[in-house]
Amino acid sequence: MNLDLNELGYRFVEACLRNYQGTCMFIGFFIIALLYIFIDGEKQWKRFFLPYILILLVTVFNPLLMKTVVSRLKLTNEYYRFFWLLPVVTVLSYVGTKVVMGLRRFWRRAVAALVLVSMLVLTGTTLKSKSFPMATNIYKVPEDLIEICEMIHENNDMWTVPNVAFDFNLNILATQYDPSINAVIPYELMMSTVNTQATENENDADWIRMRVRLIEALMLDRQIEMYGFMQALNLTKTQYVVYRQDGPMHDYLSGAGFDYVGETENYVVYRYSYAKPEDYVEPWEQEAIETGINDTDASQPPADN
Amino acid sequence: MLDILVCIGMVIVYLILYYAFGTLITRHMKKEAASVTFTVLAGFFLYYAVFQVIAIPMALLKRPLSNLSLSWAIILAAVLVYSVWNHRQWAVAGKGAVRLLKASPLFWAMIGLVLLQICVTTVWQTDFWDAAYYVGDVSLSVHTNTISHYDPLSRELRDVIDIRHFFAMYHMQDAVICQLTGIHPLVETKTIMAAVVLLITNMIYYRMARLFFKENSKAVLLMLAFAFIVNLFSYTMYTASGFLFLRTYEGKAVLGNVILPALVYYFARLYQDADYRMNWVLLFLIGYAGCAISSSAMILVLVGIGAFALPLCFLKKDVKILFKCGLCALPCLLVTFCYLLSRIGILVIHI
Repeated sequence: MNLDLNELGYRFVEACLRNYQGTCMFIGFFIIALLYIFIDGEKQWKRFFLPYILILLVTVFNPLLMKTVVSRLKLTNEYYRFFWLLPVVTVLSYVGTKVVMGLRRFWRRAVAALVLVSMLVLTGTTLKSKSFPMATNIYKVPEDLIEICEMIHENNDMWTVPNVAFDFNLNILATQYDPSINAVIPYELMMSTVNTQATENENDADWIRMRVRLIEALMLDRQIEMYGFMQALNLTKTQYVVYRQDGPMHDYLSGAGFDYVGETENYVVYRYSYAKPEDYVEPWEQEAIETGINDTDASQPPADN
Repeated sequence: MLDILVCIGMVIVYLILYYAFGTLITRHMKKEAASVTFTVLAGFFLYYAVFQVIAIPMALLKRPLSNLSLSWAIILAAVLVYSVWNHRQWAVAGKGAVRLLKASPLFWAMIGLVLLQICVTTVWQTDFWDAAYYVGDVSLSVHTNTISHYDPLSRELRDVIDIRHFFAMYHMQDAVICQLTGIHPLVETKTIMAAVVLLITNMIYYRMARLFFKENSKAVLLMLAFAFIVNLFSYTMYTASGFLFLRTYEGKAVLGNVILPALVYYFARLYQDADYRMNWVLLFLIGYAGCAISSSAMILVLVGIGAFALPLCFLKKDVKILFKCGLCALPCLLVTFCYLLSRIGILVIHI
């Protein structure tokens, strides 16, 4: 959760809770269910659930205490997981069942069940709201990625591990699906650059600067200086680029020395047409390369990465 | 079609393995020995606890993944043979399952409900960024034959062990199975283990329902149905339900939907009978296996045990309960201690 503890102070727990449950009301229903247990529940379950919840309220859900603890332990982004300690599903399903089964006639039970389910459905948020595509293969990756990886392996006749700059939407999946292909652009750098629409920063290490250039050209569609782009390709040893069909940079890529390899429904695969240098080193080996720029190794991450 | 059959087969294999591990515990429990779900649950936690005991030293000694895979295959074979050798429990469980399948339409309704949930979980193509780390770690470990020695986000060889995630060897178990069977990491994590976690989650709700409603099968089925509806309609990015259906491949999903509900279940059993030694053994297993499955468990399980321990101690008027709960929380305390040491730079393990 991107919440600022310093800004929120004692309202941090409340803000987390609001973010946590979104537009759902299950926490409210949970409280009602606890009241039901308190008023009409069996003694053993009263003694079981209620003291547990009270202790949690006094400790991990105590805004006064948590302001200090969360700050000291740096749990701002993980604090929401403490809400998992609340047995919401167990209590709601138990109380729902008790209410329904407490009625004698079958039709009364059916109506009660329908009312309770309707309350949950109408006030809840379902998975459908997130709009994920259905999986079209057993790997649950876009078919494009499978075709592209096959294409690259068939075309690759020079490198043990081809270095590929994938499109934004495929980059997250590339290593998961085919780790024998090296995704040149690291995921975290990609997300931070694209989300902030950042540009190259002269103060960054070459390792980062070169990859930011690739992101700018291939994901943010900026026609950066051709020499700088080619330099980034050379220093990151990028051999293939996967660029989306509907993007505006195809002519730019051809101008940079890319050859067309093939295409899928949504992407075009290009190969960078430079010969494998004699001193080429595979990505898995650690060594410094001669760049002519600050004597830094743009193929490896900086030491403090 | 063959891929789907392989997935179904692997889910069955996992259940058999968990049951085999579980028999090592429930053979000492007269009443629970006949319960398939109880035994599978106990076996699930014991499985990952034992895996962690094997995997951690191998990771520290920088052994290749193939060494871990071979060792684990030997242990699985040994446990399976030993468990089946003492076959009485298998025979009783088998007879019970056949009886239920023949006699109870409600049982079939429960199976249908669980299968529906598995479909809901396994049909989506989800691209959460955490998968780049966790599933990427599995893929890269299998590809490089190492035990999480490469950072899956940067693909670079790590200088030091990431202590925060080091003790949670859950994903390396996936890597081992991928190496032993040739199954692709994406299939293992996002389909097979997703289905397994769904099944285990429902087993816990089933056990809770049996605790609440005893032999009332209709009430048990209704509680399972309500649990499904609550999970399905309480989706946000942060709820355990969201992780259950969309990010089941993560250790956090197992934490929120298996470990913490199981903690509630085992404490409910303790509230009913705090003198039964095996209940404490099971609670210790949760504490240990929790840390083996998810790094977040080191704090959450610790807090959960603490929050249940105090009322239990007062209820039973027995101070020794606090000591026993402390023992059960010991694995979490140790892992938290190691993590804090790494945060301040004292514990640094170079690769």
